[in-house]
Amino acid sequence: MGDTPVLEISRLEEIFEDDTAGIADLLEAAMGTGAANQATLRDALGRRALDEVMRAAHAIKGSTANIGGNEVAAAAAIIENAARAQTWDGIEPAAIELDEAYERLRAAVRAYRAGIT
Amino acid sequence: MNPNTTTTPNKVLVVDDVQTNLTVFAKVVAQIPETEAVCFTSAAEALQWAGQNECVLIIVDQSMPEISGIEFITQVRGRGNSYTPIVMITGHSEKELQREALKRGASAFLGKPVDPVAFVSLARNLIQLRGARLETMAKAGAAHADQQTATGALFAQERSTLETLVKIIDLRDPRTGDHCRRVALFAEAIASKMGLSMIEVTQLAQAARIHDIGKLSMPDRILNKTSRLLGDERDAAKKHVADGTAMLAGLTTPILHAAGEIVHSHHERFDGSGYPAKLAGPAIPLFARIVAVADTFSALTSRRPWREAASVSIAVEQIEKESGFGFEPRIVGAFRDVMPELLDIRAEVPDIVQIK
Repeated sequence: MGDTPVLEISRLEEIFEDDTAGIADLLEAAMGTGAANQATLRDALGRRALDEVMRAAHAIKGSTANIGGNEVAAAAAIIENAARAQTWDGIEPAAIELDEAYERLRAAVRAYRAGIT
Repeated sequence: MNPNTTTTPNKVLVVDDVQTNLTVFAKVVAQIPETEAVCFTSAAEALQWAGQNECVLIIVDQSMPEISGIEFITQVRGRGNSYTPIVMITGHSEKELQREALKRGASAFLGKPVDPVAFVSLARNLIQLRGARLETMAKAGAAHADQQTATGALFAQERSTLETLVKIIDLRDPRTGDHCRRVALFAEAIASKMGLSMIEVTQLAQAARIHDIGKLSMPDRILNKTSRLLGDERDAAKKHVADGTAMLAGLTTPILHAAGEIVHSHHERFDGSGYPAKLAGPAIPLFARIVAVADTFSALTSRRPWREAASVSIAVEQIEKESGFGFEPRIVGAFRDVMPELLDIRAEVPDIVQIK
């Protein structure tokens, strides 16, 4: 996804200040939610249910943007916008990119946790 | 998520179906002095909490599974909460959505992800505005309550004064007291028929009870004279208008002010040939024009030491003859229309005082 960072942590640092353990907890909780959202999205894609695809992508976009998971959020935005426009154009490659970005995000979250212990 | 239940007074209600979003909001809200977040992932539970608790600010996500942010706002406002600011958080940027939210009562929007500095600044401003608005509402409420109390006391005082004046008239001359009672009831019936408002009819009915208050200062030799008044005596009797006006001068409450007008003008004639000011037509206060007809009917149908009471038919005939001259035709018409009611009143308040 070009220059979009996998995990932009500065916003959370501004909010949580020195509470790095709190940030790590939040990131891990978001990964748990993310896994559930990913499953919902895959299911909706498999059933070609555009409205459900849109809602699942919207949820992923919001929750990952909230923690600075901008790469995943960007992929989710492409899927949401296409689904909102009632077209499948661009959705499948964006879904593949989203899964890959999620893996990178999980790795970044693990790295963050490792960095503070 | 269970709501935070600490005792900090200023609660900020945050509603978002994503738990991690709530965690971040709780941290951001903690940066606002003297506030704490009360967080719900369930909009339905949040609505229930909002119905039972006070909060200084509401933050609500638009996209939620059970109730949308717009529906949430609609329900909060629908329950009468018009003063708590509501910020809608949305990833959407559609203008239509924002316009709809504003129509339903949203105070502001923030896009996801929320910038903490922008959020804290906005939240502090909205909380301050809420405080100022509540203060204004409280002041307005207190002023209204004070006004209501003062008005109530004024009306009670006015009624008490009126009853005292009626008693004084009764004690000075019971015959005049009965006459005043009849005239007041006649005037009330005529005014109702004319379509005056309920407030006007009530004021007239009360004020007319003392329309002859000027007779309090009338010398006994004239008030109790058993034969027709002559010359100077008639002039002395007419003085009751000026004396009554002087007695009520300066009284400004609605009924007593109306009474003053009636006292002063109930002997004016519609054609301008009456007294004391020779007012004509609409220059004569309406209440006085009505009382003039009621007063004449009561007087004609009452016995006097020097004459028998006129029959109702003769009294009506005389009053109708004066239509357009002594009396306003519209009032004479209403008088004729309510005659059955006037006869009932006359039966209820007869001229019972024995003539000496």
